[in-house]
Amino acid sequence: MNKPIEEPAVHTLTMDGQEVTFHDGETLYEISRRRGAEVPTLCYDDRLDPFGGCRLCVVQIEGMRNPVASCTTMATPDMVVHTRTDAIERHRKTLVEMVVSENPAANIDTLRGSASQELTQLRTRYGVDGTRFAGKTSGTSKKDDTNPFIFRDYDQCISCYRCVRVCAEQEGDYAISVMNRGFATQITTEFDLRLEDSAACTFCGQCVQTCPTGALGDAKAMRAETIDAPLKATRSVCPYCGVGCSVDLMSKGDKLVGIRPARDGGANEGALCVKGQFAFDFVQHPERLRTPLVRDGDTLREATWDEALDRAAAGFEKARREHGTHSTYAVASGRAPHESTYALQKFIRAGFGTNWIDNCSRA
Amino acid sequence: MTTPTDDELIERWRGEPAPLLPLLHALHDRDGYLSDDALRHVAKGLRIPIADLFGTVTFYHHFSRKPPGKSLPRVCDGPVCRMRGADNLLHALDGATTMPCAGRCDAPIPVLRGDEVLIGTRADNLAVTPSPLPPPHPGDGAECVFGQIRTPGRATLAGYRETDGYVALQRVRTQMSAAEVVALVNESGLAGRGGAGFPTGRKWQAVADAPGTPKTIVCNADEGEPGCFKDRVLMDYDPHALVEGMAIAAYATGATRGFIYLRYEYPDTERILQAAIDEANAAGLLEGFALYVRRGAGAYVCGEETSLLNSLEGKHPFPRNRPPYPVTHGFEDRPTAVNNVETLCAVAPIVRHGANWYRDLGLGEHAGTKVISLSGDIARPGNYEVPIGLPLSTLLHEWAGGPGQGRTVQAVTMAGLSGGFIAGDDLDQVTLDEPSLRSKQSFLGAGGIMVFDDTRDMVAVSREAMEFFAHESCGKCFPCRIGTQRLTERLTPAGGPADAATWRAEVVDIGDAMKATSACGLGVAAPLITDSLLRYFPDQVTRHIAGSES
Repeated sequence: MNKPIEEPAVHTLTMDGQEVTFHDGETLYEISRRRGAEVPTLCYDDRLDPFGGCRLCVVQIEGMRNPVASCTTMATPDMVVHTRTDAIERHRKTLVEMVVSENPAANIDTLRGSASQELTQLRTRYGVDGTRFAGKTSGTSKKDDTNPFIFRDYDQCISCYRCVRVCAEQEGDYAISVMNRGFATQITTEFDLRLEDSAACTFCGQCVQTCPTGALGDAKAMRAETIDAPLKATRSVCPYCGVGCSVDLMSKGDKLVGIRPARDGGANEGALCVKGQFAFDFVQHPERLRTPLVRDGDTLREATWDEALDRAAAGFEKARREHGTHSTYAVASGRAPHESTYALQKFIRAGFGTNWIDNCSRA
Repeated sequence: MTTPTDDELIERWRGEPAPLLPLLHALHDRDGYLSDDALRHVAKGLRIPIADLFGTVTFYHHFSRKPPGKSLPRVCDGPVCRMRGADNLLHALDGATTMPCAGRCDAPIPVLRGDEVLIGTRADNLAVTPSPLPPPHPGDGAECVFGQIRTPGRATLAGYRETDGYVALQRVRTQMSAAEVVALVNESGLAGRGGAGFPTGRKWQAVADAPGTPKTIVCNADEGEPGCFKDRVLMDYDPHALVEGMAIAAYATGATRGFIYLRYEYPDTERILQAAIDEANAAGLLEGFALYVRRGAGAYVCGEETSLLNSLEGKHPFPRNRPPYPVTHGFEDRPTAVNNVETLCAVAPIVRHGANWYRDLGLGEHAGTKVISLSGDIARPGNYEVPIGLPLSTLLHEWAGGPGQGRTVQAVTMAGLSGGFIAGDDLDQVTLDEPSLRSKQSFLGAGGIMVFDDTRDMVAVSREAMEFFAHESCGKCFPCRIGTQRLTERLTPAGGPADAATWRAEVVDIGDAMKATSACGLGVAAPLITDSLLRYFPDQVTRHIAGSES
């Protein structure tokens, strides 16, 4: 018999004057978000271990001298928490002014990535015009990194390390890390090599999609910055393999301009591989096949599906007649889901009478 | 002797605890720098992602990435050394670069060349000189950690034993339970002498109670605070007192291994400590307790205990989020007591003389003593073991001879640099204990006090202090990473807004956000410099801003 699932213990605390229930292991930030408290943050990504770097999510706990970062503070019973005091809002505004001051002003197109507007939104929320705390800037763009996928505009980097952490914790690649320290901190690969020269980067693009400032940009999507049309997202499923990653197809007018992993996708939770993320140019490629082709002598010509299928059936028939039952061998595509793969083996075993069936994922 | 290969060095260290730093040092010592090839081999040998290893190596300013690297001179540009002409020395030495305060403020200026510390003020008078002993004790009461330090030969096992060495360890092991040791330390009132002031007995109790083994004692000997050089003299002249203190701590907590995390700038001290450990091991004094020295590589933040633990573990030395605390999740996530050198050195005398003896060394309601590293514009700089609660003016004028002839004390720093300045009437009012100093928005911390007489430009001193904090900010949290940079710029001539009110508002707002929201003590403490500058020296600030306009 299955053991009943143990419900985690439920406790209560007070947040912004209201009693709130929570489970063991919940952080104050998670609770505040659940309540819709809109605590600001720049270094938080709910898929990653809490980091506590940006300090924007600080909250005041009664009885404690200093505010604490809510993302790294576990809730404990009977805490009395204030997410939005005058003092805390003042510090948050100062922090946003400070972080805005470290980079040159720029308009960050939303095409750069899913999270690219987070800093811009906080600027608006706190009315930060970018004139305070002027001084040296901190980032160094990697203009020589000309890979076709990931635009590395570190002039806009705010050292939240979400890219580094998503690469390590989600993708398991450890392709990027933190170089130097303090204000001289930079995001780097081993020996500061270009991404394509690093042994570990797979160009999955997860660093791009978690970047809150557009310092990392989707270079393929950014080609469409000049198209004057609203950006639209259409939920779909990645066609590349059988995992079934949810994606948002990003389009402007009738043009597909980019792919974004769906954070709420059950199979991928915001992850994609290089193919799903970046390999979509075939969709609107002028040489893309649009109808079946059949061969007449040395030339291929367009045909109807009926004609093409008849041709294929005739070919199979001929092979069987001349070379026997086991002259046919089928390999199912790794891109196909279970159901299609099942149908193919049925087709080969029942239809052709042979067990010569395999799957490319085995190769 | 043949030069060891990368693989041989990796084999030598791979099975040791906390292997990354000693392995990197072995390669750095061999080649003078850390080559790409060597790092690739280390990454493979210790199974560390190469990008992570590269990033971590760049964190430490003493690891050179190109030849000749290690052999080039590093000249201390701490506040006191700057007053003594560090800039001239820097320019007189070929290929020299600066390093932050290297802990020789009582005998400036240290120049680190390879594994030698040379002392001098000009290129032609540099010489290897042992660190100065504490001056003869000027006070009436007894000393604790300095009680026997001036006895010749104390650094050897034989000398140490002649002056009651290892009596306390013997007594603890044969006559006391672990709980009794913890209770004794609790009664004595001993608290963290690295600056945090956490009660030592309670820390040990927490480690003893925490589930999980092996347990670890870590001695924080990463004395990086500018103006602090007390741990150096304790380790140089009384290394067995530290070893004995750690062995007692191990007994009290159930720890079976220990590390001394020593700052890079003390190469002589490393040799002295290793010799003492070897002697103690040979005499069978450390059975069941494996004690290792691990040398840092130049990072002030590694004096923060959780950064230190990350550094020991070979990780990027960012501070960790707390809770959990090291007492339950310390080195390799196991229960760990991190104690300062001075704290551990006080343990054996407390066991020998009793809790009340130690407690009564303090004045009034204060328990025990604190070593103050005193330097700068003062007649007799050096390490003084003061009773906690001693008036600052007594230390400055009666014990240490006051400022130079015809000069007055304009300001002193507290906690090295981290406590900001004490100046004006407060110089005559404060006593050397946390309640008194906290009431002046400062703190005693690790006990470094630098004296600045009335000729000094306090804005310039503040800028140098903030440059240090900016140089050492780890880069993890926004307020410290950006704030130390912005404050440095505003303290620089022609830096920051030209309008005085705007300048002040920016400096105050940055400081307030840093104090309230920084992730560790570095960012919380750094703005005490600007706070106290604005409080005590508004006229110098006004002149600084006015000068910025021209």
